[in-house]
Amino acid sequence: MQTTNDAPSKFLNGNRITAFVLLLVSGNLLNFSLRYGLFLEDGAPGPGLFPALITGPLVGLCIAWLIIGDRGVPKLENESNEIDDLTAEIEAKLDEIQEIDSDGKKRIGWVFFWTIIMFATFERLGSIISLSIYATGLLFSISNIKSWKAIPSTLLMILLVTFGAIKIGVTLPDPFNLFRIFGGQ
Amino acid sequence: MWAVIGCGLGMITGVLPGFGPAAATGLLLPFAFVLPPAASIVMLACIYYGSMYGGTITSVLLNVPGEASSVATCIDGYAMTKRGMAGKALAISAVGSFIAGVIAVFGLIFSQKIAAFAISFTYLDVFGFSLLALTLVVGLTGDSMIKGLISACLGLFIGMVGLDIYTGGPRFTMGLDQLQEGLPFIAIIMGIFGLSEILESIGGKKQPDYSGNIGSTLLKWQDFKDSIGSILRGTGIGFFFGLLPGSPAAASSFAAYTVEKRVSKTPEKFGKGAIQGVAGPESANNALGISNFIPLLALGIPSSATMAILLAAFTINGLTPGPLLFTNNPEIAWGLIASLALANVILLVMALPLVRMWVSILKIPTMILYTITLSFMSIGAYVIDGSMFSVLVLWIAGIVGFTLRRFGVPMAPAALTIVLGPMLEKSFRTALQVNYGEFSSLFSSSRANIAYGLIVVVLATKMISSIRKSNKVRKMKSSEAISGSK
Amino acid sequence: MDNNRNGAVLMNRNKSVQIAAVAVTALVLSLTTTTSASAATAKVNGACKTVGQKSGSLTCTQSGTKKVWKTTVVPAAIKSWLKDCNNQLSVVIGYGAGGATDIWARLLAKYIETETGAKVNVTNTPGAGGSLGINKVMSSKRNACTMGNVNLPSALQYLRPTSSVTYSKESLNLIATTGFSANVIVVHADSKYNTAKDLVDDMKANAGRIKAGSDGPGSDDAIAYYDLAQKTGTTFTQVVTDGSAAKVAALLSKQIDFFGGSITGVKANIDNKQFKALCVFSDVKSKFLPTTPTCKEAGYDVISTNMWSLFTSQGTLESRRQAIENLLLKIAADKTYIADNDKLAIEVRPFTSDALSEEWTRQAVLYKSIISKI
Repeated sequence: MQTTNDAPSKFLNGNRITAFVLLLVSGNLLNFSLRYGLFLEDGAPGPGLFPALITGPLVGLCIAWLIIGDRGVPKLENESNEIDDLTAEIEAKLDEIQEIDSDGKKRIGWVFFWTIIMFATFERLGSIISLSIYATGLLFSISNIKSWKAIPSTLLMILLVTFGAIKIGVTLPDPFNLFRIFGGQ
Repeated sequence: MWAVIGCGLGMITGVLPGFGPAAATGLLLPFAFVLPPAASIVMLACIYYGSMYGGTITSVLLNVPGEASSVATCIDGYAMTKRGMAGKALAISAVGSFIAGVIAVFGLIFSQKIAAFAISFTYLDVFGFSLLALTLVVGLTGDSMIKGLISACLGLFIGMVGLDIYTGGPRFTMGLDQLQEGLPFIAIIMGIFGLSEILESIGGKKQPDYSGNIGSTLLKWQDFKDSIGSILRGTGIGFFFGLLPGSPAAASSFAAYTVEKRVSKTPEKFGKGAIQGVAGPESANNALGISNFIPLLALGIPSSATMAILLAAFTINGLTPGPLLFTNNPEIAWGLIASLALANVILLVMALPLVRMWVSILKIPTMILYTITLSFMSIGAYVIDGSMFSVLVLWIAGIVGFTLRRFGVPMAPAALTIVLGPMLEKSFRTALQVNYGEFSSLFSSSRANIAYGLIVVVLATKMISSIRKSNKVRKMKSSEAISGSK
Repeated sequence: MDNNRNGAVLMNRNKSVQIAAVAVTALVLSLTTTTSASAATAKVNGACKTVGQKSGSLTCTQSGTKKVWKTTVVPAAIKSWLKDCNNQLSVVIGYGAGGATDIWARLLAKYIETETGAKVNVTNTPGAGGSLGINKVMSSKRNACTMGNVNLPSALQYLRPTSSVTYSKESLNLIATTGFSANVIVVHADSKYNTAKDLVDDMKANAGRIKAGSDGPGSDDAIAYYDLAQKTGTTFTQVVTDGSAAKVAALLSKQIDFFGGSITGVKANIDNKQFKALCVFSDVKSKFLPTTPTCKEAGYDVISTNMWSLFTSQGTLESRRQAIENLLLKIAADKTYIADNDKLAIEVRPFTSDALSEEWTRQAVLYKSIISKI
């Protein structure tokens, strides 16, 4: 049997930065909680009591995380821990936090870009046009598949579901009345 | 026929992420109005039923919970998909839901007696059991207790945003009108689970491809044997939670999940695709969905938003749910019970053959599937309150969830505490009001005291097992050091 | 290499086929939804038997010797309204589903659908005494596609000094009132109280120990309780519950001693012999509780009623708003609508927007001194 530990890393790592940001946020929230008042005039719990009971320990936990940093919890490697039909490869796949390389960052960047476009157009141009732009943009940016068949069929699926949703009464923006033009109510 | 249409419509609407049973029932209510009262009630009940299963589909296949109560299913359901067992996950959900439904419908026959038991739960009792449910979070913290508890605290905090009903004053609303009604929970849950997972996969060097290993969609006898205990336990837990007024469905599914993990001989399998981790929560969900009817039928009290909509449907159809429903309109009361039993069978008959169809979604190239999912999630979030605000919340939650997950903070505790927090606070403050503000009254209820006792047991067990694990690690390290120095 | 390329082409073709298969499935599903929705609606048309009978956008009309379905004649302003809204209207209710306001709204929505042929989607945005729903409608587009409820006197909570609501009468585009219900004091059927005097006497004997279920500061029952306490010289504890269903549950489980709720909301419980009605907060007896005295008759002159009205956002075309008002008043005059409301213990008391505005001002003056203190 063996134990595993992560290799020592630099002091200012992602864990500590995240913990610090969370500490600032939770400290601020604790401050607000105290200002709302822990108790009312008649002694009943005030609006700030529960939030303080939550944000107080949260501040403590963030400090603990800040101290621990990215030191992992030692794991026990034990054969009996392997699931019956899982190979080590699959188990690793289930457990791994994937590394994000520069291509990955670009893909995520594209997702955010097209999402911002979607935000800007969803109510102005309507759900149908906006989602068509969104889906097409994403497919071109992040997908390896540029087949002329794949993109229309993906769009068709999204559009059909949008129509179906509107048909059963879900209210989605449609400023140009495209739904009616294409045979809706 | 209306039962079949209801189940079908419910399933279709339930598949849309963020569109839970309450929204589906409310939206499809006008369809029911055109029908005679009996048929309309039957159809609505089946819509409700079908939409619960629809939520399971997206949870298992895409890790996008259709509603809060599907979150527990995501944990092992999606893990089963990753292991190429998506079909089994959906199949055991359908079978577990069916068995739970049969048992729970049988319980409906004794509605009036059970309702009397349900109504005897005071705010104090609800507080005790909510606190007990909160301690379940220790079973979801994973390897790092600190990070797990951070996740739990964040979830609890999210429930505090909005107007305080006791004083009418805003809390953490930052002056925004949209925040006065609180943060949209389902958008947050979709974000921290589904969206964060998708962002991580899109950014990863290698995108997952489950198309090559769909696996069998048939359940083996061994799978059933492995799950039957979970199904029965989940049924009991869900049935009980469904009776508690204001109890969120997510609490019962998480409770079932945690109980399964505790009683399992191989708890390390949970989170990696344990079939019991799907069977238990899904059975609990279904049992809760049916036991929710008991306070409505027997006392005329809706115990959830969906039941409230059904109450409106009853009332507008000239029916008065309550103690006299079984006397004055027995055909409606028994008809509803019979239609729920029928819906149970119809759903199983519809769901099992469709498993293959649903699972074939995984054959879609991953990036295309993600594109479709992101689009549907945006629609689902928009539908919550008809504004882009919920979509914004979805994306902020997704980004925060993505960031925290990369540093090992689990999201399951947050998903549980988001729904538990408001119930915990409300029951606590109202219990104190009922008892004239006397804090000592918190120990005046025997049921609440039992819950407190169980909390101590749960926490003590966890602490003992943590200490044992630390001791083991220390012993291992020292033996490694010794063997290394030799 | 050719084999590899063919293999790749084959694989891409297979993937595209699979995508197409899923798309076809989606098409089938959406058609099924449409078909079943149409089937549900088509089922209703049936035989045109009575002149004036409605079904969807059709009205049964006499044509020569036969009765036939004809498209309902709809005013031009209504037509343009429906066109702008794509035949989909939205009504936002500032209270939870299943409560009295919700039931009133859903019934009204059903009649609006019948009159206009449009689909009316009723959603609930509970919280803050109805003001969250009001805020949502206020910020909606100025085309009256989204309407909301405004209840008097709950809507007067902006008069509270500590209130965070951002609206007032002037910021709402009032349409019309159709529903009315008085509030009634109810106790558990097993309760020792049989009259309002019994309750008040016990409040005097046990100051602060009698518990009343409340919807929170600024709600209509909070106003009524304050008024009652002042006029009887008593104090009692208010237990804030989350909505009318929670109040009913709290009383059934005897965690509270009484509450004041709308007759609409508690009639079923009274009929089911779960509750007893002590007195009605009105100046006249309710036709739905003919044997229950008014609180005024019992010696406690407290009035507490609910007026249910629709409004939309400011900036909507006045001609459109007027057309919708006329539509609501037409519905309110419909005997079937009145009969349906009677079954729900809702009185139909139509108010035009002008009358509603005057009533609003009257109630604001009447309740200002109370609301500013709670």
